[in-house]
Amino acid sequence: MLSRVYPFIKITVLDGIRNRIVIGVIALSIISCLANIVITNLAAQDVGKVAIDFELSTFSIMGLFVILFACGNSLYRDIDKKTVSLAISRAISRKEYILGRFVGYLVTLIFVSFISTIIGLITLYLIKFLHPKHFEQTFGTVILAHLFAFIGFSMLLTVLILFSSLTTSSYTAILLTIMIYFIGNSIGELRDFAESLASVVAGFPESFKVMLRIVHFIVPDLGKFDLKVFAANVLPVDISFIVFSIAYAVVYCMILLLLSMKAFEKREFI
Amino acid sequence: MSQILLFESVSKTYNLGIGKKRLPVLFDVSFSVNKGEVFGFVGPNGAGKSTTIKLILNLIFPDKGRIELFGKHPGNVEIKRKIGYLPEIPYYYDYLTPYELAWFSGKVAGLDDVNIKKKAEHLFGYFLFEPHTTKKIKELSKGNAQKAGIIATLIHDPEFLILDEPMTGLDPIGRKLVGDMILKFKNEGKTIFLTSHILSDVERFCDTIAIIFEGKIKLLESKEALLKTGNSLEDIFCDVIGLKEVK
Repeated sequence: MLSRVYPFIKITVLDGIRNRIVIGVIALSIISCLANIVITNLAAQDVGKVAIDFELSTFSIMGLFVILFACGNSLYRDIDKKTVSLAISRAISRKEYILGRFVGYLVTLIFVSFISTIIGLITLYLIKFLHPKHFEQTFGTVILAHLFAFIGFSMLLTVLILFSSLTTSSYTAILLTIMIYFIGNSIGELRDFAESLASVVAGFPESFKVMLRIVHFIVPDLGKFDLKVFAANVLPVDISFIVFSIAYAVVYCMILLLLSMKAFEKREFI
Repeated sequence: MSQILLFESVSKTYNLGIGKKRLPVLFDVSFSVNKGEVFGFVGPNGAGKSTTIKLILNLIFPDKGRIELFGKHPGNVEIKRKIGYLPEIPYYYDYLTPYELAWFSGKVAGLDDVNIKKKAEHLFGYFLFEPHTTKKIKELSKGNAQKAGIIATLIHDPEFLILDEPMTGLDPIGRKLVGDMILKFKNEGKTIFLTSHILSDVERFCDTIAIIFEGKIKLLESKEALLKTGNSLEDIFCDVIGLKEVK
């Protein structure tokens, strides 16, 4: 199986990292870092906080762009332009196609995330050097925040692959993924609020709470993987939270990939 | 003579989506392709040629009937190593080079890197393609993208070739090279399933000719028997699809 999937992963990565969108995203990342240096000059006492917040936000947007536009564009060509037949008319099973695409996009994401993280960390070091008194944050949590954001990207990627396996138009898949991105980033907080005492005061109906629980179960809880607040405010991150979140992401990705494979097996390429 | 491809009473209807009409495209289609045979599959646009090829490649599934490739289900991954498929429209991964496309095809078919390099160099040379091997596919002309596709189709020396309009976009030199290549494969005893709108090509290359029209096989005959009638394939084609005035 590996002998068949490996070539497919390789061409997915080559096609991905040469894509102008990926090059554009890396350029955007450099421009944002330069902007970060300028903006933090206006931040008075909160230089570290603002710099980290800005850097991690840039990183998140960059990941979203790569998933939606580079991976989405590649899936668009596969579905709408029928390049999918190039792979599955050869000795690659449909399950292997899904696996190859996922791993290939993941490697592309690792490549872009690694470059962006390095650029981001150099920028933060530079800002710390320029404002040593107002930059108390540790880089360990910043790196952990990048890692968590990357795990969130992986989950969103499996969502895109699942929707691409189910829908007949790549645009629909991309739009649904954007929707899931926004819901996923707020569903955890919404559910926490609904379960809290404050919701009783606000008069949340029980049916709404049940609905939120169901949505929280289906949609990826991307808010869990946003550690901006921890990194910017020098808050400790509990080890059990790290372990649980990673386990949650792995299980979620596996389930979505299995569902994608199942859907893709039945799909016709007219 | 062993059978490479079997189509037995195959019917197919496209479901165009929820609330949309169902579109029947193939009706009880039966034919077989034997080892060493060059099988010409012709028909006007929308007759069902592409649907038939998609069924052979397991890109779509039949509603009724049986399809076998090398005696197995067309979804079997291992038998696909024996197949070389050239699509009509050369859409490939834009940012790959023709060499990488050929490498991918060779690798999934089980070739090692040394063998791929050797075979790719031979094919690039044959198709006068050396100046383009390191360009990205998106930078190539339609004809050169078609050549890149042909090279990727042939790299693993497949036993069974499915060529969907192989001459599309090619210049006269490219047409001659591909034509000579098909004749070479024919002499080597390879099996070929060829669709083309260029009937003179079909007449030149094929041993057996099937004419499909409105999703039904209207004629299935050996070339010899067809040409014994004294009519050209073009005349026979027009007769079969009921276009006597064109003839």
